[in-house]
Amino acid sequence: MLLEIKELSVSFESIYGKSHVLDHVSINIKKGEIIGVVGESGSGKSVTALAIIRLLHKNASIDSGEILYENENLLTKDEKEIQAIRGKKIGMVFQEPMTALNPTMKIGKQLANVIRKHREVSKKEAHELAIETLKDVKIKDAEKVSEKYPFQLSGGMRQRVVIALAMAAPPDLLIADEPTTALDVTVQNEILKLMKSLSEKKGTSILFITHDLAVVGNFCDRVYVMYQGKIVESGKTADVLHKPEHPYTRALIESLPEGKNPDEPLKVIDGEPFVLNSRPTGCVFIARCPLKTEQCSNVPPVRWRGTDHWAACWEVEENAGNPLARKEI
Amino acid sequence: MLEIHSLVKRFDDIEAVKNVSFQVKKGETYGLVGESGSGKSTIGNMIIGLLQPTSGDILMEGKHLWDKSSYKRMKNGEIQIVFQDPQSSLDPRMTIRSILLEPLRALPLKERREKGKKSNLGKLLRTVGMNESHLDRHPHEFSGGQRQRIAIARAIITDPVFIILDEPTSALDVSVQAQILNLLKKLQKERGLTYLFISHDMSVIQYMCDRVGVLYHGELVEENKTSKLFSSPQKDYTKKLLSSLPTLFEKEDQYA
Amino acid sequence: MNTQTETQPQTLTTTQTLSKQKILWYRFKQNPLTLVGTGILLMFIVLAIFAPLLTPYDPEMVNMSERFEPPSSAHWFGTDEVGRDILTRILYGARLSLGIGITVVVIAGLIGSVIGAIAGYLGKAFGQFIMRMMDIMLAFPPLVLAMALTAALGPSLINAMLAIVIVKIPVYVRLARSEALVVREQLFVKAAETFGLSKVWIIARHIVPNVISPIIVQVTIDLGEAILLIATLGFLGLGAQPPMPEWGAMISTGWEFFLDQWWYPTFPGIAIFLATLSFNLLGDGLRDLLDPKSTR
Repeated sequence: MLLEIKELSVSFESIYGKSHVLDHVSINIKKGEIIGVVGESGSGKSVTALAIIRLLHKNASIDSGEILYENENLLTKDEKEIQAIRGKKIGMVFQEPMTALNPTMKIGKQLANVIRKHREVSKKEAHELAIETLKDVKIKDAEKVSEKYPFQLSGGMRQRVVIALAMAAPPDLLIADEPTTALDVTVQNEILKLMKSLSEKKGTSILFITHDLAVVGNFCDRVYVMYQGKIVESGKTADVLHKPEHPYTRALIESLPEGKNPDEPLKVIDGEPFVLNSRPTGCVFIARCPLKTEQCSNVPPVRWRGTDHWAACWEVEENAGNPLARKEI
Repeated sequence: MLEIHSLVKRFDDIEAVKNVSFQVKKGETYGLVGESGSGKSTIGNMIIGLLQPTSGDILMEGKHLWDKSSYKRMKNGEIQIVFQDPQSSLDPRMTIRSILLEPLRALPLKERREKGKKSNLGKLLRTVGMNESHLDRHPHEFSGGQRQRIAIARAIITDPVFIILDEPTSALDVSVQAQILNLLKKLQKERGLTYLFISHDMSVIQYMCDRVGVLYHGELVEENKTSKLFSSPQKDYTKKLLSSLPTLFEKEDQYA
Repeated sequence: MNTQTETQPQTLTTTQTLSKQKILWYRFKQNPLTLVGTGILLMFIVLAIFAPLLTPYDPEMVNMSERFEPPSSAHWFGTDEVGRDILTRILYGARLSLGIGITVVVIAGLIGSVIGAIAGYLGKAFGQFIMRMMDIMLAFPPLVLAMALTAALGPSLINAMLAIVIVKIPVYVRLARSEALVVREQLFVKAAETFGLSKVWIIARHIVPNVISPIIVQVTIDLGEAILLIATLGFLGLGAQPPMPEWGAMISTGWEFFLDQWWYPTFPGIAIFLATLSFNLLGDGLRDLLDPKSTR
């Protein structure tokens, strides 16, 4: 196992008092795997990413759990040790590429600097490697682009450069937080292709965070569905998308307009997510769930539907696997 | 109902909209789909009067909307627009009541009194899935989806015949998007509205629109009935757009 | 599975569980210096209001038998060259300084926001013209400009106030304009334009209310400066005229006696210092308070 997040709980201190934003979240990633974390706004998906690289806002506190990276707990490491892991072992790509780029430095130089941080090479070699890296992310005219400043590039090109920066080491794990959300579909398609081929070529695992179920569809091996700080369902992508078990996942898929009959209204999830300070004690989906019963006011159990597929719901019937014998909950 | 002939918009030396012509029939939803920089919002802004066309004609029920440099509607409030971002489309300093009443200020006094009655406001809010008790609240007290409902209520208060929907669900979560799309369809049916639906999202366009025009770098490259356009796209760009679309359904080679 | 297709949101899950007051108070508490500033200011306000009750003396009554008394239990801050109690004059002076200061900056702030909002919203030639006018005014140091204006209008308290209003306006115009440039791009302004509403309505209803927050902060910070300017003009003999108990005028006459009667100019000086400080602290706090982005 490359990365294991175990029962991670995070809360924020705010005007509302303490708000739990992650509630016993467990995610694991094997070497070379592409893992999707899907959730709507407020689900805690980005907090999860930031917790891994220890970049949580200062008013956030980790209440319990651990994050094991190659069996070492990242949460107990000091800043210096984390610095050594960030970038080198774990790369990051965010939604807005400009936040990761230095606006006053040429692309080639930025890349060369990063390469020299990770590898013992001369300036000249670093520059050559930088151009190689740009070619790796399918940038034509890599030499020309390396002489440009970030503002001279389009959004898609910038995101390629950011991916090149993140993959320069190359890292074992790439955390991509909505990397294509700001991009056009045709560009998104190319970026996803690129990420997939890089992952295959370099054996890098990807933790792909998105609000878009459809993107996960043909991109991720396994997927975790999050709702309001809790993982409600997880499994192989095809299982989760085509045989969804948790009422939330099912409703989410139903509410997508893709392939629906235009003459019928879309099926919707009633209501809206709760505000953080009014977190229910039992199931997080209780207020909007069409299947809710009395027992839903207790924390729902993990019910296994297959060797890899489970949902945290009282209404789901177990038919395979033994949760006690398994580590990944 | 709406006719657009050889519409051109130039910003300095960039041609954002190039010789675009299309027509929207009464009661239908016409989709304009395109990526960033395709000029789709620019067209919407010219129809609603925020931008002046460089050349070309926009006709609403046979009458020119732009007469040289002045924008003239037959009647204020007959065309309305719903913007993408409900965060910024409602004035944070106003109550929901004053937000709803604002478009009425451009109407004749009698109509303004009639439509601005409290009972009417309540009815309007219930139509969009909210209620009277929200009238004295401020926008920041509502979620994105609720704000978009308020923006829709504000757009229909003048009883428009034509509404431009400029990416109305792009800033919303998927589960909320479905609520808003249903609401828009319901309103169209009840009020016989005509929509111009601007979006970059092909699956939303497919669900919402009767006919679609595909914009690419300011040019209308293809136009067809929605079902035809999706089943047998003619132009390379449309094909590329459709094949890029992420899908829930299994598609082996999507990212290979 | 979920067969409900109604579009009614059933629950209103928003932030209104907390009152606006509570949110403001929470943010207010975040910055202890704001509390200090508010404390000092409240003290001045209370002292100014209750001045006649707090002191047995009259601020302008001459009593030659008690001239230049050093601080004592009868006269805490001593007396001046004609035997008036300095503490009494400071208390009554607080009424003048605070009243004048607030009047001056509020008027300047209002005029400035309106001009700035118009310049920002209309843009183009008219906006440019106004901004170049303001640049000319800003090119002068405020004190020099205020002195020149007061001297030209004739030394009096009213003219000093007028001069400070004129001097302060460009600051607010600039601020309001730069805000207005942002606000006019907001979709709610675009929406109002599509309704066919007049420019006057849009400026009055959307632009001005939305540029006012930073102006309030600036006004609070400038209150200190305004009080200082009033005092300076008073000190130079251009503002309040004797025997008005104005702090600046008190220092102006008192500084001659500083070597022998140190208390005379010192206590009014401390009053000016504290008043200015309190407004600066409060202004800093308000800046955080009115910034809608800082919710934590």
